[in-house]
This record gives sequence, structure tokens and C-alpha cells, in this order.
Amino acid sequence: MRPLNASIFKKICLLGDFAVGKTSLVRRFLDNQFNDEYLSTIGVKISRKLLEVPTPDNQLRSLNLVLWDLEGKDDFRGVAPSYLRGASGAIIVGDVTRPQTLTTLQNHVTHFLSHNPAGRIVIACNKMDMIDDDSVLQELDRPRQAISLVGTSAKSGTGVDEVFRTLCLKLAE
Amino acid sequence: MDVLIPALHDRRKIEYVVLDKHLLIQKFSDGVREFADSPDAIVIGGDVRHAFPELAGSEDDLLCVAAGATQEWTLQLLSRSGRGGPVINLSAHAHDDGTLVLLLEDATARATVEQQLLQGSNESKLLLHTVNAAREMLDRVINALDDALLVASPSGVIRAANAAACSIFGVHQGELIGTSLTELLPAGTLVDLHSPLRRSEISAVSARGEDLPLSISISVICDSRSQPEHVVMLARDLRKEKEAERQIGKLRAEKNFLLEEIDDERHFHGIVGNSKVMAAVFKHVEQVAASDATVLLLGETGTGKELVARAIHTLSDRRDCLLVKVNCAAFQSGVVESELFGHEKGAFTGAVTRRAGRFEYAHGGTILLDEIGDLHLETQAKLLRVLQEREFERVGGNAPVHVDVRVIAATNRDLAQEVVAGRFRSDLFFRINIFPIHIPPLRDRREDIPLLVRHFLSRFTSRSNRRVSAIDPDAMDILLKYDWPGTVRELAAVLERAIIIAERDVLRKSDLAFLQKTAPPKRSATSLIDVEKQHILDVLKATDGVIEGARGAAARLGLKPSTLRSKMNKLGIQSQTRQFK
Ligand SMILES: Nc1nc2c(ncn2[C@@H]2O[C@H](COP(=O)(O)OP(=O)(O)OP(=O)(O)O)[C@@H](O)[C@H]2O)c(=O)[nH]1
Ligand SMILES: [Mg+2]
Repeated sequence: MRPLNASIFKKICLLGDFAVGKTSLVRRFLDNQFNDEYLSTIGVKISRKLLEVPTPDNQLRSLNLVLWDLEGKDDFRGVAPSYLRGASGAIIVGDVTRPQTLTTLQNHVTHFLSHNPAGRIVIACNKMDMIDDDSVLQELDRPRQAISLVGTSAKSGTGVDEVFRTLCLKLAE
Repeated sequence: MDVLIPALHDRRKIEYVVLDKHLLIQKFSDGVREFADSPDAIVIGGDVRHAFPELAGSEDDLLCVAAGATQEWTLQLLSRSGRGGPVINLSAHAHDDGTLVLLLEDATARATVEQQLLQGSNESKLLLHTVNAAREMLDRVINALDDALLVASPSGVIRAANAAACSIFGVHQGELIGTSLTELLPAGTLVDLHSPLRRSEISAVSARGEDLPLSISISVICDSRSQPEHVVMLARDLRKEKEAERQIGKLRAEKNFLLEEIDDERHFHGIVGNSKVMAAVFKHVEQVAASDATVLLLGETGTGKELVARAIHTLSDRRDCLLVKVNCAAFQSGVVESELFGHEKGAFTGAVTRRAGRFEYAHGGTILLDEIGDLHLETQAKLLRVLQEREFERVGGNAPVHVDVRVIAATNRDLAQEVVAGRFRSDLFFRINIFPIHIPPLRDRREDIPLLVRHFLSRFTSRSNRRVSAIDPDAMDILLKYDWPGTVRELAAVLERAIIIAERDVLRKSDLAFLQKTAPPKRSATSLIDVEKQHILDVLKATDGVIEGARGAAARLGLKPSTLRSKMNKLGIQSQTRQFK
């Protein structure tokens, strides 16, 4: 089978508990918009974004990102493998105002990697605008398989680009 | 298959694309184009991923679908408008011939219903989380309170209690819930659960039977129809507060005790003073006390000669016998002898029985002969004999009476000059001038004034129920600078008068204004009488002329009413109530 511009298309999954802000992060990243209303995602919502990222040898590389914004699940086992397979990376999202959405991060990481052993992962601790200090992040054990852990706010935009760019830099290597 | 797919297509509006094993389009239904991101890419031989970029990354998954098996996704497809594309059910079916059929069914309507169900469930979970978080926070706050918080039904049955309630009342939460609020309060505490109460102090008893002072507040929470719904009781444990108060009281008492101790250290047998001159006096007293030597106390009236005599007596071995005091100036010439030495029955008119004199009473002890300079010459001779031979005869008697008495003489006169003037026997003078002690007047021991002031303030305030416990520096200054004509007794009188005038618990300069008005002070005995008279007048004025009773002038002055009356008589004060108004 001839790969379809294999170097360019990258499937990225957004995983995490319901209502942690996966859809909102994608929307901020794509359209720079935010909505306070909550509309839970059914199945998966797919979006695409073309992003130019530098490679380690300082070349610019265009990545055609296919973002799989999955229906939130508090139990990671509820995410069917067919939705995860073939992904190059994942953004696993937690909500800093709901501690139990942070404790399940590791499960999502493990689950994702079991289907994509070479997949890259960034953790987004979302809704940072709702808390006064970032001690939550300090106290959090970052899953060691994750490249990085970023405090984000889809509402204010803080950290959103950083999450996607950190992941894409790794994917461009 | 050729029959099945079109049939499905017709019946359920399922669109299809048939792919080869390179994912190249072999066949398709026209409706597929509606779902495709690039409809033009739906051509025979075209790569399906050009039409459906959503499939990028999932190629392996598609190709892995085993023969006869199915793989399914619910996808919200890419949209060309901003709102999100249609939701489709995408399923891949592998066939034995190596072809792969993708079935695409518009699931938007079903997804909308599913979405609403999921949304409802997620939202209620979120709400539950919010409620739980709020309740946890509230619980933490309520349980962190030091005060007991009890929520009861309108009839007083406890429904909820915080941790402090359990620890204050000493019972488990389970025991509190269901009992009556009033059971926690001591029997007889009248609390109307339906009328609010603000910080009312009660004494309850804890489950362990200990006293439990509480400050309780009760508030009633009403429903929308203004009917009582909850009774909320807040109870503060006052044990620590009470204990702290007790400790403060104890410390205060200890402080006073220590102050008194300090005072005592500056007191010498009741004589207040820590000045150098007084220290010398005390030293002499100690030196002479142990011996039986006759002592002569020299000093103006009111300098405390009697106190010094008492100190000598107390420090001597004679302390268990009497100290007998005779004021030699108080008697007429005929009387003083019989006072001192006693008389036989019939010695003179009126001597109906035999009577012992003061020397006899003082046997084994000490006699203080005050104002010895006022003694008549004949009596002086008799006294000389006592001093020399320790014996005398009673008036009208011949039998000698032996006595063992220590003599302390005191005078405010210059005895040497009295000898020169022929009013005092020189032999007696030498006999009593063995160990003279000079007691300085107040003006020569000004350092003692602050100490004396404190001493008298505490004495007078405890006696008169007036709470004047301190003195302003300005007022003290006046006392220090005042040219004390007389004695400690005068200072005492001034202070007693000032205390009556004082309106506050601190003596102020204005309370001593009368001192400045009486300037220039005269150094005479009359000034003491004046002070005494004025003082009595002041007290009478303050009591509206009332002499007797707890609030009367006599009580205030620490005198018996009869004594005060005779004093008033002597000083020419009339006891007409009106006069003092
Ligand atoms: N304050 C704040 N609210 C946010 C943030 N991100 C998302 N939200 C809100 O959180 C709710 C859920 O956001 P979504 O983006 O729909 O969450 P999701 O993870 O996609 O939820 P599911 O699709 O149900 O899994 C919405 O009401 C958002 O407005 C954020 O950074 N700050
Ligand atoms: Mg979502």
C-alpha cells in the first residue's frame, strides 16, 4: 500500500475524563475561541490542522494533524482500541478543579501506549484559570511516559499552543 | 454481496464504498459524496483517504479487519462549515475476496439523542461533584469550628452536630443525633427554642460530670411560610476562658502578695520607711532591744515613737509580757502617781479599793513613759527610785513593791534645756539618757514619702471601701515638695482627706488642692489639730453629717461613733446634720 503522504498525516487523540475540556482545547487551538457552554462529545469529533514545525535539523516540516477528540470516559477501558490505534500522539487532559480526573491520567497513558507503543504523550492540566496557584501541578506525579505536563486554560488560552507544539515537535523528529 | 449492499443502501440509506486491499475505490454509491471531505476524490481507482482524510492513521486498522469480521466507529466528520460535520456510523467489513466494504450511515439524529442522554448524565455527575465539593468544604469549615454547632428540628430533636459539639459535650455524634437539644442544657435552663438567644452564659455539666460553662446562642431558621424549620444552637466552651480568668485572678493576688512582701521588707515592725535616717533608727532599735537598757526616744509628736517602743519590746525577751503605755501629759499631778504606781484602799477620797499601777501591770514587760518631759518633779523623784532600785510604794502605802520593768521614755521636748530651766531632774535625765534614739520628722525623711503614701492608700481604701489605689505623679510631687510641718500622722490625715475628695481611682493633683491653700504651714501642734478638725469636717460633709452606720463618718474614719463624738466635742464641731449639706 502506498502511504498517503505518510510523513505528513499525524493522528492525535485527545483523551481524558468527561468535561475536562478536550473539545475546548481543540477549539482554542484551531479557532482561538472558547465557549462556556458544555456540549459533551459523542464518539469522536475529528478536526484537521496544518502546522509547520521545525525538525531537529532545522528544516520546516508541515504536519497535517488529524485530531481525534474523543468522547470523555472516566473509565479508560471504555475507550475502544479502534479509536486509539494508528495515533502518533495523544494529549491526555485532566481538570485541575476535579482531583479524580488527575488521578486517572496515568491509566489513560498506559491504555493509550498499550495500543500505540511508540506514541508520544503530553499531559494537559486544564482549567488553570479556576485555581489560585499551581501547587496542584507541583504535587502531581507526572506519568513518566509523558513528554511533558502543561498547565492549560482553554478559557484564557494559557498553555494551549504549548501543549500542541510540544507534541508536534516530537512528532516531527 | 452485489445484491446485499444495494439492498441495504435502498432500505436504510446506507452509503457504501468498496475498496481493494490498497484502499483504492472499486465501487461506491452516489450518496457517499455527501459525507466526503473532498467529494471530487470519490472516483474509481482513487485513494479513499483523499476523500476521507479522517481515515489517515487508521489504514492499518482497516486492513487488519479479518475476513468476515467488522470494525465500527462513530465519527463526527470534518466539517466544511464551522459547526462540525455530520455524525456517521462507519463500519468496515472484510470479505474473503480481499475487498473491504465501508458502510456509511448518517447517525446525526441518533447521535443527537445519544448526546442528550450522555450530556444529562455527565451534567448530573458534574453537579454531584459540585454539590459534594461544596458539602465537603462546608463540612470542613463546620468541623473546624471551635464552637459546637447543633442543628435541631423545631421540637428540639438534634439532626446534625459538628465535631466540636461532640468534644465539648463529650459524646459521640451518634449519641447526639436524635436526642433533645434541651437535654444538653442543665435542668431548669429556660430556653425557648423558638426565640433567638444571643450569647447567654449557662453552666452545663459535661458527660463526664465536669462543670461546663457555656455561652449559647440560638437562632431559628424558617421555611418559606415563615414556619420554624430548623433550630440552630451555637455553644462556646468557656472553660478555657474561665480558667484564664481564674489564673489572672491568682496572678493578681500573687502580685499583691509579693507587693506586700516587698512592703513588709520596707516595714520595720509596722514602721514604714527605707530612708537612711530610718535605717539608722532601726539599727539602734535592734542593738538596744536585746539589752534591758532604758531607752530615750526623741522626736516630734506623731513621728512614731510608740511604734519604735513597740518594736523594741517585740524584739526583746520581754515580748511575752505587756507593753504598758502611759501618757504622762494626760494626767493631773495627783492622778499621775497613782496611775503609775497604784494606790492603797482609802489613800485619797474616791480610792475605795486598792488599785495596781501601770508599773505593776508592766511587770516582766516594758513601760513606755510618753511625754516624760511633762512629769512633775515629785513624780520624777519617785520614778528615779524605780529606775535605780526597781521598787516603789503604792500611793498611801508603805510596803515596797518590786517590779522587773524595762523603761522606755519618750519626749518631744529638749530635756537638756528642761534640766537647765530646772523643770527636769538632772539625775533622772542622766538615768534615762543612756541610749537616746532620735526619730526624724517627715521633712527629714522625704524619701519615705512614696512608700508611706502607698502604705496609707492601701490601708485607707481597704477600710473605707473607696477604690483609690494609685497616685498621679503630679500629686505625688506635691506631697514630696510639701514642707511637712509635722508628722507621718499628718501625711496620713492628708491622704485620708484626699481619698474622700477623689472622684477616680487615682489620686490627682486637684484632690490635694486643699494642701496648697493651707500654706504656709506652721510647725506647731495646732496645725495637726487643724488638720484633724478639717478632716473630720470633710468626712462629715461627705456623709451629710451622718455619724453612725456603715456609711457614716465614724465608720469611714475607723472610729467608734462615741469616740468621734467626743473628738468632735473637743474640736468644737457641732453635730448638726444641716451644717454639712
Ligand atoms: N474555566 C474553564 N472552563 C473550561 C476550560 N476548558 C473547558 N471548560 C469548560 O468545561 C466544560 C467542558 O468542556 P469540554 O471542552 O466540552 O470538555 P470535554 O472534555 O470535551 O468533555 P466531553 O466531550 O464530555 O468529554 C465546558 O463548560 C467548558 O466551557 C478552561 O480552561 N477553563
Ligand atoms: Mg468533548
